[in-house]
Amino acid sequence: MNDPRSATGFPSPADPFREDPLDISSLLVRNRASTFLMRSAGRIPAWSIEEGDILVVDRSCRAERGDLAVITRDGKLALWEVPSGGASTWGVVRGVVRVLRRR
Amino acid sequence: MFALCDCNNFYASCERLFRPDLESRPVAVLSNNDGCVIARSAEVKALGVPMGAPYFKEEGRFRHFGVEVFSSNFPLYEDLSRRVSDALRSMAPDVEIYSIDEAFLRIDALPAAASDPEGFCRRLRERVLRWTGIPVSIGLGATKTLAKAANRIAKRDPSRGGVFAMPGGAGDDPHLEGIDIGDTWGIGLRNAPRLRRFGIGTARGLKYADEEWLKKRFSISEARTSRELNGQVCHPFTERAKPRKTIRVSRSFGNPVVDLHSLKEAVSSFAFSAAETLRKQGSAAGKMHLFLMTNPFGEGPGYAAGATERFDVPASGTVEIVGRAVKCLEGIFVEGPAYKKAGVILTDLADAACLQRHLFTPMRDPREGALMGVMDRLNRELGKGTVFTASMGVHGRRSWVMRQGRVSPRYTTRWEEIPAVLPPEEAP
Repeated sequence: MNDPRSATGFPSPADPFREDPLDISSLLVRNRASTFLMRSAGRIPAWSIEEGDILVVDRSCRAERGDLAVITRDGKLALWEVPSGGASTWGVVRGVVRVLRRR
Repeated sequence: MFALCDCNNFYASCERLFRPDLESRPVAVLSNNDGCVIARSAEVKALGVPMGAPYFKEEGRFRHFGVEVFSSNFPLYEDLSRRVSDALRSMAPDVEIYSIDEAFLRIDALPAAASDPEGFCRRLRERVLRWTGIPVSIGLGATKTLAKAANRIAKRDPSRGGVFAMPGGAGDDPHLEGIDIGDTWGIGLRNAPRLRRFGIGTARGLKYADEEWLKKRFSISEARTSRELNGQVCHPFTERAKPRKTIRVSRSFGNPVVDLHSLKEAVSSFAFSAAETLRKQGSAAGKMHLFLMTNPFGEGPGYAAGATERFDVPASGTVEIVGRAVKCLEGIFVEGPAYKKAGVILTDLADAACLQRHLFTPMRDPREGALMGVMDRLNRELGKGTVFTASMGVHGRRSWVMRQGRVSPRYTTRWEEIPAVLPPEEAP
């Protein structure tokens, strides 16, 4: 009924005001080319992250003081709270995604 | 001005992205079926392992030097390749994808590149590395051939910082003397030794060769390469890839196949993926060719057979293409030989949107196109193998699938395979 292509009678007066519905990735992904998803291997209470949560990691952001960043530690990818700006990191965590399930 | 951006040891660099422990360790990637070495990190190159070396020959040496060996993980490479081209496009909008790890860029119209093209390319290189984790080298030149030659120098000479320019023009460029004729873009394996016999052993030699003589002795193609080395554009920038004229899906089997049932599964899945590629470029096929063969290097007499089918109305539907492929197979299958390879080739491709109507054959059922559209979308959105034809068989029992014993996770395309990240260390 509100598909402009299927209106055989009158075009919708709302047509010029049509906007794209909200897309969750527009909130979390600023840069598709540089954004990677990772799974948290542990609980991090200070950041309300549960084990198994999906982290949205952007490589294009500069890490600032207080960011949660991904770094390499002992040859593995690990999280790190950035103590001061300008640190070199693998990427910066920009968001957390979790599908809710009742325990 | 053209720039050629080439990813360094692309597949090996992809394998390192989520494995920091592999930084500065030797990494090699094997071809389908783990047959040959198709990518080598700098450390593996330094060991003297040639490109394309059979894995079984190198296995001992790899173990001795602790080389990390991977089966090819094309879903990962494809995703990272797309990210690299997106990063390039963010600074230089005109990008011509040349292969999975190379792209030509047109940078002369960019204000940011006008005064200092090399500096611009260095910033581009930093951005690609920062965003995607993939190191690249960039060559600059007045033509694609010169950009390609410059790229070679950028890649091999560490003092250049990954960027090198060959402006070209009529002047002599001593760097061209360092480019072997066999490594010159556009000179085939066959013609390099012939040119050498005439004393043309380097790109510089070809630059100063007589054009008429080249045309007469060789072909227009070598004459064009010579012009390009002189800075005259013969291969213009082409942003859109031309649709492919043939689509070929063929593979060696993980294990030799003797029974018709397994061959049907294999051939069906090759036909399935050929049909998918066909629709993706908006084509329909007029003809299909099917072949199967035993191992040409095996013992005993070999066997190879092929058959061609013509479609009355060019076809693009999976059901029809898979059905015909199976029919073809039944026609040429003989019991006895141990088959090692089969393939489906679609030819006589036409634009599916403007198919000629045949007077005496019925038009295609329009519902077929709709069904294929839904199927392609499901396989794209929910992952490959969501919808397939029953003739392809069910996972787990296929003996013919590629052997890929050392494949890494599909880190960026499967939810179950995304990389894990450890929690922060507790403050001491």
